Amino acid sequence: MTVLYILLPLSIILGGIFLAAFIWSVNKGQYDDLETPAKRMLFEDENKN
Amino acid sequence: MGINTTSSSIETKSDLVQESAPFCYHCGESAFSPVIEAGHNFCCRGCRLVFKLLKSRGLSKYYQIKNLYSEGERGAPVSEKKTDFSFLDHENFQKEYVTEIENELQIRFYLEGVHCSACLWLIEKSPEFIVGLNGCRLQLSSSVATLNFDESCSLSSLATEFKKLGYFPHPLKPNEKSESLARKEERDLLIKMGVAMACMGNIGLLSISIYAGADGTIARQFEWLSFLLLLPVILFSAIPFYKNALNSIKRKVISIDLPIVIALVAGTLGGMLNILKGTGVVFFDSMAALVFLLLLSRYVLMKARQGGVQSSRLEFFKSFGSCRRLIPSSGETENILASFLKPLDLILLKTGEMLPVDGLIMKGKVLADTSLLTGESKPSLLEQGQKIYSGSKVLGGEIVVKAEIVGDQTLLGRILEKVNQNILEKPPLLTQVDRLAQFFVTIVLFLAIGVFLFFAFQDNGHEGFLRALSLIIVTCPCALALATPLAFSSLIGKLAGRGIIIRSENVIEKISEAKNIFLDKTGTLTQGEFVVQDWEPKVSREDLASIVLALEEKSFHPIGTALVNYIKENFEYKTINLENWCETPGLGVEGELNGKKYQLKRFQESSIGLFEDELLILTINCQDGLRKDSRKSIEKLISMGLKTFILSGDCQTQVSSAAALLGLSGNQIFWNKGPEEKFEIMNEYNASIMVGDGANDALALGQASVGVAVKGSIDISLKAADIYLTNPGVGLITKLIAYSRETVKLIKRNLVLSLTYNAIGAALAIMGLINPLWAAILMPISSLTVLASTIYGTKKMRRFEKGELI
Repeated sequence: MTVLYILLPLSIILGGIFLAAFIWSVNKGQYDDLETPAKRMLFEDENKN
Repeated sequence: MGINTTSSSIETKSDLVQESAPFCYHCGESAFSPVIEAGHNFCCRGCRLVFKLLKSRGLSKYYQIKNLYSEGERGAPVSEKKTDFSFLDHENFQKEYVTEIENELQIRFYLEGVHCSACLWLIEKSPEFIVGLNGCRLQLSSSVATLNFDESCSLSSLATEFKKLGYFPHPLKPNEKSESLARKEERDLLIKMGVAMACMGNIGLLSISIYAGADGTIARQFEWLSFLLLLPVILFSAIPFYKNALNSIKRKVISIDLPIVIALVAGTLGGMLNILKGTGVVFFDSMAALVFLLLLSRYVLMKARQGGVQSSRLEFFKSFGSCRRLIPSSGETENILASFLKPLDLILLKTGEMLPVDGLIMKGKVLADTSLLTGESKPSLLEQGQKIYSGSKVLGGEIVVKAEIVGDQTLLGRILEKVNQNILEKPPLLTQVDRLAQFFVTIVLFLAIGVFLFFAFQDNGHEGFLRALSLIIVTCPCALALATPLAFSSLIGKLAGRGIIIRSENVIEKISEAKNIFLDKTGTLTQGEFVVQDWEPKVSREDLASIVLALEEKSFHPIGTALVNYIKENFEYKTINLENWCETPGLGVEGELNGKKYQLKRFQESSIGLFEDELLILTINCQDGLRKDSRKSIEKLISMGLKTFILSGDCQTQVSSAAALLGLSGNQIFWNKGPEEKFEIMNEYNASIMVGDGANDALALGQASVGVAVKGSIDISLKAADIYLTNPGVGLITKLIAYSRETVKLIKRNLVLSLTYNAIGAALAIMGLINPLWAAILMPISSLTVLASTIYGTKKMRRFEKGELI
């Protein structure tokens, strides 16, 4: 069971990285508007040429 | 007799229309008398105009997107009115509203009329066809567009373009403080939630192995690890609860937060003791879950409120208005924002405009509508040397006014002040749910303390602690705390999509309880403009219409305009040139033809007569026409069990003839009521909804249990109201009431469910049949039942929308 001493800290560090990513995205404003981007992506791109 | 015959003919006509009214191709409203273009029906010329504009620019894809992605969404008919936006180009204005970012200028507009993803497409496409506009981003939920533009394009032309597309732009001041504060608060909550969730997940994983029977060193180490993981939750994520609990202690009330804090502190300390002693269970997982779920419920509620209206959004409508200022040196006029006016400024006021200041008429003569302040629908004649007050609307004529009092000190400003004060003095609404939760929480708290003390005196403090903690955890009202905001948020969102903007979710309960409804007449039940109801010739002649037309064509009286429109639509007419034409405001018009003198003047109250050499040859009945949906809406209101009243500042004949058309009896109408009297009436009748639009309604709107302002409302009544309808008329009110009642029913069902559940749980906890661990498992189950009930309830409301239940 000694493997736990490596795996557990590893999993918590991994979790911490994701949490940090989440906090970064919140501060970047990615969660400010949940409605518009969801609809914006539905529109087809028009041919730019 | 005249009125009666027309009333029956109107009735049959509208009945016919209701059965087969098609929907407007542009906005989706019922088109009662459709305007047809390219095989599509439109409810008005405004909508048709936008359709033609989009087509000519190759933007017809709008309708495809609308049909594809925005099922069921409806907009509002587009108004055709022209607005002069040149005040946007004024230097003072730009200084306050425009920001410069990397060589580009930026401004934000609140776009009235945005409602679906097709609007999003169209608005964000605008840089492709508006020269000088470089970028445009729209936030759908708040209808705020951020525009980047350069010098080659003026703000007024930008605004005019959006107006043409059917979205009325209201400029916003950049980066208002309250707004950035609100954003910070939201992000903060989100981060706290994220931290709580991450910790909760990890603690949960560790706990599973402990529950599964891990023992010895590993179990101890896991317990320590979960304790470490709990620390960020207790010390960071739970901060809002500590703050709220402290506040509630300061205000000497017991809020839901108090037992939460007690449970958190007790649970953490108790768990720590258990770890140190190496015996007993720890339940850090349930502590973390508690914090996360509660934060989640708060986040949902916050989002729900944004779907409604924020007070800052209402500010957009406030103080918005422009007027023409005379520049004395050149004699020319400039269009500026009313808030930039100073005393002694000269203002040029033309037909259809509203005066923003109190002042003295320097030149000219006008027919002014002062109904905003007095509620009187009859216009008054004002001329040089007389005082004219803010809020007066010019019906005809042109005057130059010297501003004497501007801003907050004007008559209108002072009424606004009073309204504000009334709102401040109004105690915050405590809903039944809040009161019940408070009561419940108090009982639980005392019970828990009692249980603990009971066992402590028997020298069994450990057992007492466990039972008290189980009691608090199992009865945690977080299911309720989550379900109620969810129900409200789905309601507010749904209503916002229908054009009903709710300022605070607390009024929903008030709406469902209302017994009386008071409707203002002018502008709410009626169109707010005159329509010819009756045309009764006393002699049979063919040139009557042509004579009336010639008499009224140059008139600036609103009745004149109504007559001209009526004649052009209904009669064949010739152009006649009258001699000695003259108009005496307040009296009528006259002119000569072939030596005969023709006069068109008031004949009886609310009807006018055409006289040929003092001999009556025609009577015409002109009235402020009822809106097409008024009668239907009132019938529905009555069938919903509401006592329906008309509350108007208008004269008796006008009000009672409208009431007769609407099927209301004589004791259900109030006439000649000024602002103060309306206020008194609201005081007299409890549980009433007041619907109005003028400044004269503002006091009453603030006093009523629920104040509803309808579209076209002057800012002041908007401020006093709890709810704002973005579509004109009262049709939306029936929907509002039906939805609110359904939601309150749902919330009450949830209350009963969770109270029953909690009572059983509490009994078990006191008897010692469940320990904190079981309590933590049972709590989310109760949340799930309540959530399931909420989802079922909102599903039912969806059927509402399809018209199955209403």
